[in-house]
Amino acid sequence: MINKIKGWIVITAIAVGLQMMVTRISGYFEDILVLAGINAILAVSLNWVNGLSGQFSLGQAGFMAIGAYASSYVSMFVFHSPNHSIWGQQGVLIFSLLVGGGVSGLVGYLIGIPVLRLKGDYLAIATLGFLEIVKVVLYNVQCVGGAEGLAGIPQTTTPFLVFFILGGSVLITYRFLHSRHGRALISIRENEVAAASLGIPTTFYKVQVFVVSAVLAGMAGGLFAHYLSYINPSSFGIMMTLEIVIMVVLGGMGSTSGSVLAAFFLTILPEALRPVQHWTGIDLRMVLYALILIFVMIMRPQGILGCREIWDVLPRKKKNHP
Amino acid sequence: MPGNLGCTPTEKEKSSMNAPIALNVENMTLSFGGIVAVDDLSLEVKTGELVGLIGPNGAGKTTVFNILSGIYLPQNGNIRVFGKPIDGFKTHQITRAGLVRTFQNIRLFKEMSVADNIKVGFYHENSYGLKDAFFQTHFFHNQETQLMKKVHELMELLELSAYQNKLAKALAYGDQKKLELARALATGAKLLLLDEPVAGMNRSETQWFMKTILNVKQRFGLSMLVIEHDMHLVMGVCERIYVMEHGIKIAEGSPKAIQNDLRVIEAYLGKKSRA
Repeated sequence: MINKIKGWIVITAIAVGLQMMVTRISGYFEDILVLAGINAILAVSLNWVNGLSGQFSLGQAGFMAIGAYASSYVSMFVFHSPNHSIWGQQGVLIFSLLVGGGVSGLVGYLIGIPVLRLKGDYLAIATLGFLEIVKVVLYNVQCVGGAEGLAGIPQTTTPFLVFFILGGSVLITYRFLHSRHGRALISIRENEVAAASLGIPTTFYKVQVFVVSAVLAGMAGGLFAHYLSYINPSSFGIMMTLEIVIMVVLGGMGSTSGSVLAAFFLTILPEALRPVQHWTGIDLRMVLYALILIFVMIMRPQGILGCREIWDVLPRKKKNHP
Repeated sequence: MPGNLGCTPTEKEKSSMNAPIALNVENMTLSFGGIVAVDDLSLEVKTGELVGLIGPNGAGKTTVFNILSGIYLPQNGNIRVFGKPIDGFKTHQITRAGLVRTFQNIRLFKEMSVADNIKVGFYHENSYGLKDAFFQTHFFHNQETQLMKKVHELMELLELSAYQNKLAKALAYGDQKKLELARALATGAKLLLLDEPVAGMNRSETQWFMKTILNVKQRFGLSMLVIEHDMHLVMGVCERIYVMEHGIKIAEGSPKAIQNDLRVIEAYLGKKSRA
């Protein structure tokens, strides 16, 4: 029994540890760490589509927006009560995250069926179109604030929850990849025709992965909304999507741990460059940020970890994989 | 004695696998715009038979394979695999019906290990769901262990064991062909379509590979349809041969009859000049 849930216990422990660590440091570092964690969840989710299944989606911010709005709606208008206890608040948040992820997954399913007939650039453009549609709809729906956005979302996101969901999504990805489903998915990426001719239902897997990715992105959106307490449609534009895409590409397409690494690196980098601004008196942060990106991509075009995972690269005792 | 590799067929599947005709194609036609790639083709592979499909380049042989494996949809014709009509089936459903193919230009999963390539072929052998994978249940571990055993058996049979953890792209050409065959066998399909299995191999490799093919055919009770340009081989091992030219079947019969068929000679060498 313990063995069965060992992985989940480890993740919970790590998340509790980070929670305790974060509450002891300043709010500024907490902000950075939590946002990095949320970005990492988004990167992991996009890696499912862009890295593992070999498709190319630019619609991730759209799923994030759907998750953010749906979960905020639940916690603001359905279960709102200012005097919940801490556990009550967390309960409401978790429920609203599940709703956000669920709605996002459902939309992902409905969008995925027609859109995943396309490949490569065409798929990228179609998903970009989806993102714009989501934004336009949100601008015009008055019950979630329209262009003004939603303000006053309960600020209930805790570092524990962020890192628990991040850890859970990494664990799920890892176990998925080491199962027959994961092998089927990778085989589709490697050669779709050959995969189908071996009896793999390719369309089923492509849609399934799109849905999983949408659910994760929706939950990340929910965490994002409940951390900042204010969202508006323009928070979820093409720039947001591109940031996630950069994380996945920089980490190495298909590498889950690479995505997490890159998400932390790219979220912390602009903040770490603040002293430069202080010394020089001009804001060179974004210039340096871009230069560093270019440099990394020239040195390692396959991304930081390439197609591998950090646990494959690090030395460890030999274990016979089943 | 056929090994217990591949899918264990249910009773219903078993009876259909025992159907006397493994593949039955009637009046199949496919045209791309004005070009008729396959014209009113009929052919048949009896269970346990090894049939050759030959013809000059561009005759439409690979197109026939692409139709049979569900990549192209024919405009006309009936296809039955072990007695079961497969009209409108997707590729993976056709494989489930018992027909699997290999490719002329090898299509391996290059970034996956040899063992994993074969495991993909065994996809339907396991039945655990996502939940079992996420929580690593006993069911998951049992099935994965069973699977590994089968993969090992198959690798041993095709002399691939030494490369188990190598990436498929790192294999030598001949080994890649073997791996593709192993993967196809793993699906448990009983009708194999081989598209130029020995193209690019030298004489001794060809002989070895053909021996292997005949060996697995015997062992698993397979039926085969083979496209091949190596005439020695075709004439040596095929029980019957179909000849195509410009999408039309121009001859069929025993190797001997084909060798002496005037139309076949013309198709390959051209007509005698009138002078």
